[in-house]
Formats: sequence, C-alpha cells, structure tokens
Amino acid sequence: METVLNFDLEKVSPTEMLNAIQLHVSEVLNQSIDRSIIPMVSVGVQGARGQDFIGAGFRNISKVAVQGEIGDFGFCSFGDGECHVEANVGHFFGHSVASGIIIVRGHVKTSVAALGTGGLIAIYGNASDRAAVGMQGADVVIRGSVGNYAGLGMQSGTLIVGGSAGLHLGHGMRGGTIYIRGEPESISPDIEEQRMREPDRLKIGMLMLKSSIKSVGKEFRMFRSIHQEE
Amino acid sequence: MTSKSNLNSPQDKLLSVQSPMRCEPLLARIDPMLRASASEPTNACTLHAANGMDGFTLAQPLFTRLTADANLSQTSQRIFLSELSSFGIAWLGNVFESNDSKLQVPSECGVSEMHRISPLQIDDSIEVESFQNTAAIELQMVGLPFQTLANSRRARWTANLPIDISKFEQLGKRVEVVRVVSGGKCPVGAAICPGAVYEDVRFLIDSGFDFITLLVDVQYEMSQSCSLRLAPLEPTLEQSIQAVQDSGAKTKILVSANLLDGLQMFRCLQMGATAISIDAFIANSKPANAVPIKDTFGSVLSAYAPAAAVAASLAWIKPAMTQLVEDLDDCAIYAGLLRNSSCNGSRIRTAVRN
Repeated sequence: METVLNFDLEKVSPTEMLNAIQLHVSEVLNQSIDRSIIPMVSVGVQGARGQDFIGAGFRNISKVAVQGEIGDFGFCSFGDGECHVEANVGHFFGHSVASGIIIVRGHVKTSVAALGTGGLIAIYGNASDRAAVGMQGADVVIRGSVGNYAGLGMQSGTLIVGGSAGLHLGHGMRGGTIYIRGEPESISPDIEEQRMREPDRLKIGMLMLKSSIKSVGKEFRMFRSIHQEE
Repeated sequence: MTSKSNLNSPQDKLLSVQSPMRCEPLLARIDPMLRASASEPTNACTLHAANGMDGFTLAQPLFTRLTADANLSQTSQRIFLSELSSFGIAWLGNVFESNDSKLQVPSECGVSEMHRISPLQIDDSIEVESFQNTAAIELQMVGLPFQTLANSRRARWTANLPIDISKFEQLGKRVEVVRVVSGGKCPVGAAICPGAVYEDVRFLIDSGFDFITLLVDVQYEMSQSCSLRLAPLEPTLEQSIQAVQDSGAKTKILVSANLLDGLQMFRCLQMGATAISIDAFIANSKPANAVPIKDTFGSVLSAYAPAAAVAASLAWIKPAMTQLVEDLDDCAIYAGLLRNSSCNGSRIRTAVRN
C-alpha cells in the first residue's frame, strides 16, 4: 500500500523532513517481508523557496515531487526513486547521485550531478558551468545549453546536451561520453570527436525517452576522452 | 597578527615537545589523600558535532590511520583491529567497500564500529551507506584526483581540496551537506598536510569542521622504515592550536606524528592535541622476528594463511599497546592530571587540558 507524506518547508527544515522520512521508511522496511523492495512511499514537498539541502540523503522513496525552487546541494546522494522538481535549482544539484531518476523543469546552476555514480538527471532548461564534474557513472540529459567546463574530469557516464556548450568542453575527461547537438565554444584537447554508431543513437533515444524528451539521436555529435581505453 | 608574536614567549617554550613534562604546580596539589579518593574517571577524548549533537567519546586519546593508509591484507586488518578493539582506539576506514584499495572489515570480526572514522577522499562521492555505523567522518584533503598523475609516495599526500569545489566558500556547504546526509550525529573533520598551518586551520574552522587531523608524519606501511615526514611537529602543532584559540572555536586538533613512546605522546597532548596517532609506535614496536605483513614471501603466505596464523604473527600488538597505555597513565599521574591509576592498566583516563 502506498503511503504519501507531505511537507511544507515553511514549517519544517529540510533536515527535519529528512529525519521524518527516514523514520517512516525504516518502519515500513521493518514491516515488509522483502527488504530489498523499495517501499511505496511518495513525498510531496511544498514551500520550497531556495532552501539548501532539500532532498539530500533521500533513499528508499518511490516518488518525490517538489513545488518551488531548490537551493544548493539539492538531492545530494539521492537514490532509488523518481523525483520531479517544478522550478529552478541551485549549485551542486544531484551531487553524488547514486540511482533513480530526477527530472528538473527549470534551469540549474553550477556543478550539476557532480561526482554522481549512477541514476539519471534530466534538466529541461539550461545548466551553468562545470556540469557533470567528476562524474563516475551517472547519466545527465540537459535539453538546453551548458556553460564552461562541462564534463570536467568525468570518469564514466553520459552527458547529453541538447543545445550548445561553453569553453573547455570535456577538460580533464578520462572516460564517459558527451553527446552534443549544438556547437561548443571550445573543445578540450583531452577529448576527440568520434563517429556515431547505431548503439549510440539507441542510447540517446533511450535516455531521452526516460527523460520524457522527444528526440531521436540523429543530430548529435559524440566526444570521448583520448585517454579512454576501448 | 598577534598570534604569531606570542609563540616565542617563555611560557610557550615550556610547551615545547623537547622541554620536560609540564606538571601541575604544588599549589594545586594540596591534600593528595583527599584528591585521590575524590577523583572520578574521565574519558580521555570527546569529539562533539558542531550542531550540538553528541559526537563520540574515546577511552584513550589515541587513533590509528594504518587501517586506511597501510596496504594490509584483509585478514591482517581484521586481526589488527581486533587486537586494538579492547583498548577503545579510533580507527580510520570503510566497512563495506569491495574495492581492494579500501578497507573491508566484516561486522562479525568483533571490531567496534563505534570507534570507526569514515574517510571521504577528495574524489569520493558522498555515499549514505558509508556513513552508517560510523562515529565520525573525515574528509581527506590529500591525494591526487583519480590518480591522474604519476603516483609516488609523497604525491599521495599532496594537499588538495575536494575536486568539485571551485570557490572557497563552497567548502562550508559541502561540510554541511555531509553532516545532513549522515544524519547530523557525526562530527565532521578534515585531514590535512600542514603547509601554511595557521591560515589552513583558520580556513577549515571557518568552513565548519569539528576536528582537524594534522598529518605531520604518515606511516604508509606497518614497518619502521615506511614513514614520511611532511612537516615539523612542534611549530605545526603550536600554530594550529594558536589558530583555534584565535578563532574562538571549539575545534579539536588531532595529530598523526612520529611519536614513539608514551612520554612523547603525552607532551603532544599537553601542547593541546586532543588525540594522537599510534601508527609510528605500532610500526616501531614490531619485533624484528615478527612475520612480515607485506612485500615478502612470508607476507604472501600470511595473506592466505588461516586467521589463527595471522593472529599469532600480530600477537605482539596487545602487549605493546598495554605498555603504551600504562606509560601514558604514568605520565598523567606524574603530571598531576590523573589522580588514580586506572584499574588494570588497560584503560587510560587522561584528563587532557583543553
């Protein structure tokens, strides 16, 4: 049976919200027979006005819906569920994301999905500098454009950019793939363009489908690290 | 800056590691019989989280980094921690990672996780699972990101900030998010290689760290020769304590240094350190005829040997630690900081002056 928890961030802090959710989830998990199944817990968050750390540490939640803007380090270390954010988000959004899907309908500031190890983050707006910095396995889809140093130090994972990119695309990149539809202002010598193949188009199409974005991967270019081993 | 001008005063000279032990004045030693009977055992080392939550308390002001820095086999790590567990010593390491470079200690090995300090490297993602059952979290402000450059013994200890930080003011929020994700109960600290000690410590205090570990000397293997000196101990500790005092914060200073006996450790505590590492002591206490842990054919055997054989090869740790604890106990009694000798010599209760 699905339980729904609603929070008004004008009355509780993000930390209090996290503690309440963790308490509820642990109770649900204790009652369940199979603890590996994610409990059907939905969280609704209202009153978000740019507070920091909203959604940080959320685990074992099936659905999260946030109305309003999120500040820095939103949904840090998020895992396991599906999350929808209806407005803009701050710096370090989705930092260390581990699994699940996060969809943001607004713009995002710097360092989205930094150090992310898994899961998918879809941004319907633009992203600022250092998108996917140090990413280690997560997938990021940005429908708009990205700023400078996108894919900085990326180790693995996928960055899909529907618009253009700023300076130094893929600087220090050691692994992973960047797909971009527009034109980057400059490309780092650490990456090189490679020919798109059918699996790449399928991958873009699948990630776009999961992100609820209509696109087929035909107009994209693909960049990979020159240090990457096949 | 007033702080640095005060360092050369005669009073500060007394705090020198090279100077004799500083004892309580006679005026504070009136009526020793009454003082001995009235004394209560105190815990040696307590780290509090900055948000007011209780941190963790150690019976001894001691910790070890060998469990993270030395490349011990899993069996050796488990036995080593089992040997230390009865002394209540904090240890740095992870419990669940399957990666070979990280510590793997199964929960059934009898090691108390309440004394575990969870390390967070500069290129590590913030994982909720790694913070479960941990007493504290320590950001390692050293190392090279993803080992992109040629690795060497010293390069491993290069001072660096986390790779995702692009502005100094972001570090404070990163510390705070670690605190939030871990449930707010753990103290969050930083391990640094001292460079510009005073400025670095002030910066870390302003960023909200609860404790700072100064890596003055590091022991990268459990062997006498495998030690690196990264900074001089005495001025480093003096400047860091001065920085804490000037900031008015309650940040604790932990020291990893080449301290070989109880007296040297006790002097360090008297200078203002809250806890000190036993790594150099452990490495230097290993008997010459002990089975090697690594790098030899014997060590290869020990990696695959039954646990009982490895335990026998590490049997020297417990007597050595007992001797160290008694040594520290003696120093505390002599200095007048401890009234009663501890019951069986296995638990020191050093009243550290803060």
